[in-house]
Amino acid sequence: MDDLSGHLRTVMRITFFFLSVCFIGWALLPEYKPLFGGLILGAVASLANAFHLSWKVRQVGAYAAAGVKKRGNLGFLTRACIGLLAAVLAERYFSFSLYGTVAGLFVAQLATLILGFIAKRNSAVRHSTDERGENN
Amino acid sequence: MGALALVAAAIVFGLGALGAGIGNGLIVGRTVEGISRQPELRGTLQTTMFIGVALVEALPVISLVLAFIFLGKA
Repeated sequence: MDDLSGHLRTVMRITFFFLSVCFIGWALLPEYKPLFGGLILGAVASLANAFHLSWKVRQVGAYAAAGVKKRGNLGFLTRACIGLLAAVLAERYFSFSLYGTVAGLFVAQLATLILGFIAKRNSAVRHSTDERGENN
Repeated sequence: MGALALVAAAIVFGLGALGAGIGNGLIVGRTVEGISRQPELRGTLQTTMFIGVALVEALPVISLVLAFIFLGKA
């Protein structure tokens, strides 16, 4: 399992934890159902975006490693349309809170940011001790 | 209100897409350069690229949704 798979798996775990909290809120706080519904829909769209992005990043990396001169893209339009689809579904079909949906679109990105900081800090700590020879 | 909402939608998505375009270009360019120089670091560089692109692209996705909200108010 490479770095990206492990990272993505942790992002997925955090997003599922967030979804479970939202479902508990949906069940226990009926007056906030539209907000929690929007958060759930946004978080699912955000997770789909994260998986699509990881697929595209792997594709670009494979092209670069193989030296293939092929124009690749990161598929931003697809991810933007997924976010827009979540917003339209929340607004037109489920009557969820649009603000909750927009906030839910940040969940996987926020998890990625926090995990990135943690990984960077851990690697910096490990690297400095390796340089001093404390781990040898 | 209608014309102002259209202008607001254009500004919010235009500036969001401009920033994301510049940021994505820098991130992908440097990552491809790094992988080409050191293919053994591909896993680490891909993870860094994933983190960078995810953060950069959060803004235009949100701005697109906001732009459509503004268009709905127009």
